[in-house]
Amino acid sequence: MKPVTSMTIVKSSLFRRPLRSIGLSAVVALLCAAIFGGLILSSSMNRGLDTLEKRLGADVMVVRYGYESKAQGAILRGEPTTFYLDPGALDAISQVEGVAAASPQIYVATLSAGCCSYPLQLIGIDPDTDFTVTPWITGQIKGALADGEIVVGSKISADVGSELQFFKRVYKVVGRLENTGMGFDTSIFMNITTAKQAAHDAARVSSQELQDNDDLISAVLVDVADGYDVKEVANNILRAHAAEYHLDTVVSDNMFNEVSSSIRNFTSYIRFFEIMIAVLTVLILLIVFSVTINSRRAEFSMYRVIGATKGRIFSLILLESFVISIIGAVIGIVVMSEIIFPFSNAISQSIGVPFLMPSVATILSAVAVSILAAVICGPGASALCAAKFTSKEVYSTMREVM
Amino acid sequence: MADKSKSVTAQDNEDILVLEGVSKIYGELKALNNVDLKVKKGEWVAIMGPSGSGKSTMMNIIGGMDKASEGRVILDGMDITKESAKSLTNIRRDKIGLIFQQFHMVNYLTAVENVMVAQYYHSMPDEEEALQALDRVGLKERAKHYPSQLSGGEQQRVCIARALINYPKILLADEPTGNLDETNENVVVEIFRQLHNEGSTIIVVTHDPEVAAVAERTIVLEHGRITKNIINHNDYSKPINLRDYEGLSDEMLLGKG
Repeated sequence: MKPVTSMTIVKSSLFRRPLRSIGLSAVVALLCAAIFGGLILSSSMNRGLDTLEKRLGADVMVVRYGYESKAQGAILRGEPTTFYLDPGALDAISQVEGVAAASPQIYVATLSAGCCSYPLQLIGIDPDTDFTVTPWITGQIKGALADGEIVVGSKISADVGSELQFFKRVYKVVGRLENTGMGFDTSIFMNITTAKQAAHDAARVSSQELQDNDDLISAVLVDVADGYDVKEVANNILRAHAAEYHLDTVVSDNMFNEVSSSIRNFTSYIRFFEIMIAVLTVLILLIVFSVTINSRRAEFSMYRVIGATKGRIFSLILLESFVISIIGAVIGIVVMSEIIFPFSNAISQSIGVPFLMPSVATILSAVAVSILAAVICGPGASALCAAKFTSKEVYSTMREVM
Repeated sequence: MADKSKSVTAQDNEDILVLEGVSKIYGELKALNNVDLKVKKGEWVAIMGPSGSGKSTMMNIIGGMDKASEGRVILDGMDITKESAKSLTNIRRDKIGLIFQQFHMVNYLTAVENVMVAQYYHSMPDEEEALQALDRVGLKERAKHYPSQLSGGEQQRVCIARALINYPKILLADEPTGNLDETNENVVVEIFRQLHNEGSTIIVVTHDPEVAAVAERTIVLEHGRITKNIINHNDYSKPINLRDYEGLSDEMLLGKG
């Protein structure tokens, strides 16, 4: 037989009263899930924001008038879209004062692909002039992207060396990008020649016609020269060419600020609900542990009668609530992980902000903070009740239960 | 009634418990009023009295669960009147075995674990010794049963085993047969007889005149005062059957006899 110790007493208590144990663990799990989920969500969004800043590359994106929100949706959330710009705009924009570099891109939405159950965004870049995507795909491939070659985003399930088919044309995967938390994760990059071919394929499938095969572009990405104000340059572009080429601009600072503001608002909501749930849970824990300890006065009184000191009763109660809290914390973290990690794409799309999984160190920190909160709140609540209980004389607690 | 059969030594004549002018005052109420009492080692004493007479208060004070407002309580040569709560816990643990009417078994521990938990809080759990204690009360075969699987009488016997496991100086029983049927009442009283014959000091608080009558001495409390001190002449060499005891008459108990 196992020897009788505080731990065996606690184990017997937990296993012989499964409903009580499950109920208490569930309350702690709720607290832990709220804290862990809140921390992971907010740090994911903050990391997505950092990456957004780094990856956006261009200061200004010039698109056809009315398509600025679609362009943002494609970049931030990977919402596939197809739009085109008058190709003459590229040279015109390049001439505007303050423009250091201008590079065209083509955006084509696929219908479906073998790799994925949803449409993807094809992005064509000009390897000769691109300063936005090329710097961070250079490490992934050897040399420039050749015709028919593609680099896939991190969330597209296609291995390097495999082939993907869009609009009945086969493309070879030569690289895979690291996670960005942005729309780039569900995008496919190719050179502009290949993208033009894809655009024509897309038009053919959808029975639309494209005017000029050689000069087809969707957007112009602009790098503003040092010493110039980005917004001023964007305004200069609009003033000079908006009427002629039907242009609109997306200023990265604005987009960044907009997203940043969304994230700030969202993280504020998360913090608010996190605090609300934490406060409510602590109150519930206090009530539940108080009721539980109260219902066990006879048992604890008996321990005191047979010689257990207040300290040993106190430590027995704390040990039991500690075990419950650890179990609850693990359940809460596992359940919340099962919600957050597999559904990060859906969460990102529903809240409309970049969402990048935090590093392992950050996740471990969130786990540690959540467990710490649980083992402070659970045993803390029971310590308060235990202190109240043990402060009474033995005869009075015995009399209450007789 | 025959004389006691157990041998009496010089040490047996020593007082294990002395109450000197003990009072317990709650506001205007004197639950115990200047009580003097001496209990010898190995003596079996019953405390009787109507509700509110101070029996439980006296038991709590003797058992170190409450403190006297006035007077002195000397247990095994030690004045426990001014002891701290922690010290009283140690005194309860080392010197007193307590039995209650409601049994108070820990319901998620088996019978033997209920006994071992008393060992754990005293010193070191010893399963063999705990099983021996259960064997002594005829429950070794039920050692692995939980309280819910035991009858009231069996639960009370486990509590007696638990009270005895740390070799207490005094066994204090508060209405130990109050929740038992006649058969189990007999079993418990018979265990007390055996313990008494082995030299245990037993103090039993009871409402039952028959249970009071099988003790060596019956103290009657009324309004916090001892009003009667009755010596019973019982034969403890044979098993006790409560049916053979008429019990103490009301006249005897109320001081009219």
